[in-house]
Amino acid sequence: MGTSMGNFDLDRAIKAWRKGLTRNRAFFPEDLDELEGHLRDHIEELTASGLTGEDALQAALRRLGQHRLLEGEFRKVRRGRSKRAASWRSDSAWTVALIGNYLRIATRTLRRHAFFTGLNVAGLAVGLASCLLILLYLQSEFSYDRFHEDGDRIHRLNWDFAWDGREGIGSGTPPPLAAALRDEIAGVEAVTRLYPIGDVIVRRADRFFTEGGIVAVDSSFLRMFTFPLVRGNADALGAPGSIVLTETAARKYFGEDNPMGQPLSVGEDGVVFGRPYSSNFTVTGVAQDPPEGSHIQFDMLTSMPSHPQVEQFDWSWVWMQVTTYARVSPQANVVAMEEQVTDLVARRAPAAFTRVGFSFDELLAAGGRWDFRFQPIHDVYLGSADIGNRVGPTGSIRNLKIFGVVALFVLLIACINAMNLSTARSSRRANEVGVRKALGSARSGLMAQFLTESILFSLIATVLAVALAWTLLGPFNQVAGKSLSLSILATPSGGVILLGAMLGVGLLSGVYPSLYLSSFRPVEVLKGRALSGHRGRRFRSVLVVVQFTISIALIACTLLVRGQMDFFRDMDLGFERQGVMVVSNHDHRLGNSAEAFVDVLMEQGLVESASVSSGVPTTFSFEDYYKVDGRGDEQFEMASYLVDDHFVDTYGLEVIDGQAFQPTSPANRRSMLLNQVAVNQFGLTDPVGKRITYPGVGDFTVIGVVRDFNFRSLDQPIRPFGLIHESSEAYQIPNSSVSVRVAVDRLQESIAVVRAEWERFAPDQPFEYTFMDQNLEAQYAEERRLESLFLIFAALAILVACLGLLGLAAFVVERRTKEIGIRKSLGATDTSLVQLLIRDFTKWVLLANLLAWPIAWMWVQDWLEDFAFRTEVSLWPFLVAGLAALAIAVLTVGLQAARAARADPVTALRYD
Amino acid sequence: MISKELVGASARPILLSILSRGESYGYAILKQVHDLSEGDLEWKDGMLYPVLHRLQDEQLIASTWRKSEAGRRRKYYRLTPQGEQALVREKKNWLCVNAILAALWGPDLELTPAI
Repeated sequence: MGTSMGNFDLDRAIKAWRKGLTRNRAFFPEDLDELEGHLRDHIEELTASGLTGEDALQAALRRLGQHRLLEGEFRKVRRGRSKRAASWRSDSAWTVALIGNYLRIATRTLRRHAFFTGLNVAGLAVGLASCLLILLYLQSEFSYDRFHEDGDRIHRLNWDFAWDGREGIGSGTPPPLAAALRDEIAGVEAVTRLYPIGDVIVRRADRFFTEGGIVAVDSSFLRMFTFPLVRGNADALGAPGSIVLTETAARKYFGEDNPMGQPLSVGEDGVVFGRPYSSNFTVTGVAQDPPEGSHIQFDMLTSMPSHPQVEQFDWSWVWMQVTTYARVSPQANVVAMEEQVTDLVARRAPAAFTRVGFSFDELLAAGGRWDFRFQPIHDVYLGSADIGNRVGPTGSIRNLKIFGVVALFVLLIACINAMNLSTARSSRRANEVGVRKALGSARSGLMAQFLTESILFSLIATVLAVALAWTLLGPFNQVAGKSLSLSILATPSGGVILLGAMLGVGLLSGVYPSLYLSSFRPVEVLKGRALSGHRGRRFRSVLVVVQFTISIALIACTLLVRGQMDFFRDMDLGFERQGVMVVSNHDHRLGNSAEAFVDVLMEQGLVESASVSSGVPTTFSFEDYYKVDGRGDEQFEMASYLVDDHFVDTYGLEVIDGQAFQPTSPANRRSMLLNQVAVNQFGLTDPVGKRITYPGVGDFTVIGVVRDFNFRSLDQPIRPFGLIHESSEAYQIPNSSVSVRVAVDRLQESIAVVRAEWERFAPDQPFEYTFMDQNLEAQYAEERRLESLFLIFAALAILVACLGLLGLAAFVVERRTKEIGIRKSLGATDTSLVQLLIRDFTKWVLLANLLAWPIAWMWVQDWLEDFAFRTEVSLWPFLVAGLAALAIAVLTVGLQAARAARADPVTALRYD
Repeated sequence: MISKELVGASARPILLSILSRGESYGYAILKQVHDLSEGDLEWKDGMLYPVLHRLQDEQLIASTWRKSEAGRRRKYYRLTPQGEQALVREKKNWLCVNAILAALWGPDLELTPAI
């Protein structure tokens, strides 16, 4: 090209023109290319008609239009284009630039309002940390038994029965069920049985411990379940006398030595159900400890043939003492299989019924049921509240739901705080919004700004929450009885959940404020009119009411749960529980000298009374059917202990009719005491002297009646109960307990005395004791746990709610500074000012009370359903919860108000 | 001279119509308009390009960069199928307006308002 005349350089002139436009953002380089091409075309034509290059350029530029006009036209198109994202590259660059800008302004806002930021973030962090802990807890509860390779095909067989007016479902099944399933039901691939041995003493040389976690299993156990062996192989449990230890148990008995092939003695040699039992076992394998998340827990596994009783009952469809598991084929239809099992039982069980003197046909004719149902092992842990689990723990789905709801509540309260604080501060940001809008900000841009801020809040809060959860994990594990770890957060799914929670909380707490704040109309705002904010204020009130409703309900529920627990603790159980020491005489550790031991103890100064019995409250009682004088052949179920002469004294039972056993009286033989429930149910009007017949054993004479006492958990009503004198030899119980009532104020000395005597009587037997009050307490461990967790989260909820209230109060006081100043200068007193400021909040909290009380009341009614003995729901927990919330709220607001009221009115009036 | 408003309003149908006869570039389009209107319709040259860009954003026309005979890069515009449809609509509208005006200005109509 290069049309050049004289000293005029067209190329350079065009370059200069172009440079003038380059910096203008209305033009893309492409636009300039096009304009330049146009210019050159035009100049070419003009010079062809005789113009000089300089003139041609001037003429062409004139035609093209002034810069400003040109720019305006291009800009119009330009804006439309960025909206329509025609050029995504420049567009995303724009967005990135904007996000940077949002972040910069967000961090500035955060820093400038450090007080509000602190409240906001602290609230969210506490809320998120609570949620995090509870989620970890829920996750561990819901992931029980997921580690078995074929877990989705393994089922537990449950016994579903209705017989003689009782019905239920249990995990005990009869020994022959497993083989019958395997042989006769298509779709059952493999079966295995478990038989918990109960407490026995295990010895190796001079080391001995009582082991409660020994389970006898079929040889198929190690193949069906995924309990990996570190030593030995899956055939380890075939032969009689084989035992597999967990790693922990192996260390306990063998230290670092290799236990394989080593002898171990389990229990005592003897005769069980007429068959010889040998206590000599050989270690044939070492298994990893079962994971915490397994409903099957054990310390040692022994082979089933080692225990003659199971084999002894291989004909019996009524000896429900083993747990049966079946692995089914992938195509198996469990519903159809259950029907086949019903047929199977109908074929096989009648003979067994006949053998023990019952009729299976009569059972069916009377509408009874004797069935077995498949339960997927994934459902066992949480789905066995009514079924039970003989080899490990069960969980409570109801408590999990409660915790889940509570976690959400705390988080909700925290989000509400964030919302409230953001909208409350709207007045301070209204001007900002006005100015931004006047300068051309779109509403979407403003919303993005506010959402960025709330997400930034939640990001900081999330980081803090993880730190907080990490700190609290230890104590939380203690309360919850778990060993949870935060390592799951480092996994991809954990990270996604955390990120999701962060964004979710950010959006939840940011959406309303961003909609609200960005809706201000600039003209009104800048005139200072938009700030009456009635809409916002009403919304904030609603949110505060929600927060306090939740907090009050949580406090009330905590108090109500605690009330029931205290009721249990203080309830008159009908027997003395303080200072009663229960010494285990498991497996007759004392041999024949139990009575001698008791007699010696009775002579000790610190011992008030001592007694041997086959059972003690909260533990085992023997249940069977008895016939009653004058009631014909009707059989009555009754639980009983075999007791000695001192039992009534030792437990402080009250004899209300007849008399107790007389020491060393021959009349004690074949005599018994009944409780009041038994007397009523047996229909005895004058019980003393009446005969109770134990079919197959003989007659017993009722010599007295004791006041009802709770021999079991308070979940259940008191049932008919008898105390049978031990000399009656009504039945054989392999275990007994020695109860010793000692001086409550000298427990340690008393323990030492009892121990000394034990060591004299049974030097090579473990001395193990508990205290009755602690045993009772232990029964309600789960309820205690619920109470503690309620307490913790109720406290957190109220803490977070108060943080929010503090923020709101500070804000209200700040907004009314001028008003306060004027009132004060006109003579208002500090007190009246504080009252004025508190009034609003008080109203909200009172309203929250009205809402919270019915909620808590309904919940506690439902919760108490499960207890046979329950406290009267009184008004005071509600009042206390309400007043506590009110007091905390008034205090929070009052402090702010007092500060404002005390301020010098001159400063206040100068304030803007 | 045609008023600014009418110039603005007519730019769209005119551009679509020109491009419906084949692809073209900015300077050539301007010349064509100038020639067709015999100088009555004057566009500021710079105004043409934003209008073209807007039409392109609406996907009524599309563009490609190509080398001219002289070796300069030029942006050529052509009508898209949507553009053809838009032109049909524009044609209908303008013919409608034209018909109204023609009818109103016809010899048998009383135009002068009664005084």
